[in-house]
Amino acid sequence: MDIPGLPPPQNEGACPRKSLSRREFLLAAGTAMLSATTTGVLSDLTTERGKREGSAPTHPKKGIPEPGGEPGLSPRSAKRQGRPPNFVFILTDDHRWDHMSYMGHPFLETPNMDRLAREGVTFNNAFVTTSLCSPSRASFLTGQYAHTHGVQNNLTPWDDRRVTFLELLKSADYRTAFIGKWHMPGKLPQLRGLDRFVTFTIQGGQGQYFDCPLIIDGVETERPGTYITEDLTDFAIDFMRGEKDNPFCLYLSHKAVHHKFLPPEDLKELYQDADLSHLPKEYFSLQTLREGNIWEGALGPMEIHYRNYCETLVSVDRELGRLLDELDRLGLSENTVLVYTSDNGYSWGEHIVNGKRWASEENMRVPMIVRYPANSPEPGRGQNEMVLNIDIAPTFLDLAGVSSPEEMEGRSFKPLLIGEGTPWRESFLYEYFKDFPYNVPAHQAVRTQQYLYIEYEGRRRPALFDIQEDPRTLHNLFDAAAGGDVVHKLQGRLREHLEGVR
Amino acid sequence: MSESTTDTGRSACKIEEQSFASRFLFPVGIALCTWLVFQILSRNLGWIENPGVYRTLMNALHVLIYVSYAMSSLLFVYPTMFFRGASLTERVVGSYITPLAFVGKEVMRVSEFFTPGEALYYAFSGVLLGNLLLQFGFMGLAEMICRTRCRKKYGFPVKVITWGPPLAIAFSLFVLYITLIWGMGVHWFYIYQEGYKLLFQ
Repeated sequence: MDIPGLPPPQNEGACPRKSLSRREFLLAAGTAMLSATTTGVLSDLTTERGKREGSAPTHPKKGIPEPGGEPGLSPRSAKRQGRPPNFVFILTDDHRWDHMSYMGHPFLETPNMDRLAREGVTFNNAFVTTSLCSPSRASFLTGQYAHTHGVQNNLTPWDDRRVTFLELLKSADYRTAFIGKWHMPGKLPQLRGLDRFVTFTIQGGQGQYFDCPLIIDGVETERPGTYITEDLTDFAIDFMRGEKDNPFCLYLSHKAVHHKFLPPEDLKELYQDADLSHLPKEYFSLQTLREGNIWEGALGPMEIHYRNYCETLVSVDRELGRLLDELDRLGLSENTVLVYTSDNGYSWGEHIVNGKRWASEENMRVPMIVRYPANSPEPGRGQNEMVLNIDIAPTFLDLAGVSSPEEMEGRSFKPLLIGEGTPWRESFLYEYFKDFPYNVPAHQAVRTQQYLYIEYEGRRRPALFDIQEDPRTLHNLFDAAAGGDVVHKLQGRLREHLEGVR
Repeated sequence: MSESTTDTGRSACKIEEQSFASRFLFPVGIALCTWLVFQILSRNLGWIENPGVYRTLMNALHVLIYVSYAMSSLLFVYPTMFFRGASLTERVVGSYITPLAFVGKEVMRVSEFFTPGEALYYAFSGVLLGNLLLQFGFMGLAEMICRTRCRKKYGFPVKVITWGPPLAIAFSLFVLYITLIWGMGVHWFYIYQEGYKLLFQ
């Protein structure tokens, strides 16, 4: 299938631009990887595999491309003749969906996020399937739910056998970089298909805002005098400059705006005097003293943390602007798919909580803006379909003309992005796994456009909220609705999702 | 009333031992009830419409809740028991009742979503364990304050500093450092997490 807006293939007979069939993809990917091994392009990849799995690796999941799997196609079979789009994926941490000036925030100024929204498509109903850093990050990378990829909480490690969209794009001749926060349990991963890997492990992988030591392609490096968001953006820009003549995929994963919410020096006290009357009625300054809240780590008056959070967000916006300007300068904006999103939202006092783990709108919902000037009509529009973190990987692969493995549970939202009407999901599964000692019960929920239905493990009764009527999820309707048609249908839908119905 | 001879500090002050109800049940009961009242109040202020009033009360209550379970031994229980003739054992036990009630309440609360074993292990978290062990320091401090008061107010020739109280304070400071100050509590948290993985995964 041609991608509208892109130049036609130069040699239709030799290698037309198309979405590869599953089998074609497997053949192409396997051969490409084999070839790469011999040419040294992916020497790091094969070295990792060789160390871990021996000379004939097999993947436990059927259908995921393996190097050396099936010979036959040219390694260039997976490469299209026209220039495929670049991808710049910007993932922030704990940035809740409504904290941007274009969303009507009372004082926060985010001109570059606003610009992105004007030039791109805003997905008004974007959610994560688990509102917690590590599981959500793994979901973005793999296109899978936490119960599938296995990173269920901040204790369960990443499995290096998991396939990321970066690896699959690499097999289609993309240059790839992962820059920033990895933060998944276990040791640093042996990610396949990366040309550049800049990350950090300090503070349990959380990193630190100032002077954060980095691991640059495996080499630990001190970074005195740096501020993390600026430093990571520098690496991102450096990568884009170096790869401007190649299709590339840049995964820029910020530490910001996670606790401790520390802005750079010049933004400190920017919002010192800002009016906070928009914060929820039920919050109070010392709510971290309330039972269980202390685990979220934000000791001290909430107002201080909140102001810092907003100031830190401004620095993210500023660095986003720098990156957008660089894309313009390099002439890459038109053919680059740029996504801005977050690993989860954050509650600032709603339900007397500082945190992100419960199934609530503040936590599950994330900002998601996608800009793709070459192939996305009506810039500035909003889409109301429910898109998920697990949709990113299949969407990127779809836009690159690469088939998604069946194991990916997300769905490409390319049709929504390029303005094609398409039937879309009517519900999705949210899941939270026990993460001792955090005071949140394991729970599963189903979210539709109207309802949020939650079942908890343990003694807590289920919850039902009418999101349209009660977006702050203050009124649990379960007892009143128990036994009724709505609950019955939602329970059935939840069971279906848990059984794997997409 | 008989005079106890089991505690050098108190006996040196020649304090008469009052009834069990007076020297033990009264101070312990007051501390426990105060904590409980604050706890219940803090859960029932949602009806207040005025945000300023609501937040002021909630902030005050949560400070008071903390003081009532974490510092009642220093501020009220231990000194009251001391001057009512409670023995050292009684003072230690009495001082621990409210902090232990708090820990018990927390263990019960988290048992809603953790297994019984996990809920018990929850008591070893930096916040709860640190609070329990801090009580030694508070009691050591309270003991020295009581002895000082005996000496200055009543003129009894009691020795204010013996090896016990400073040792208890030093131990508590060490615990405080390990659980809450060392890496802002992060290091103990990771040790605690490793223990969890060892036991439950």
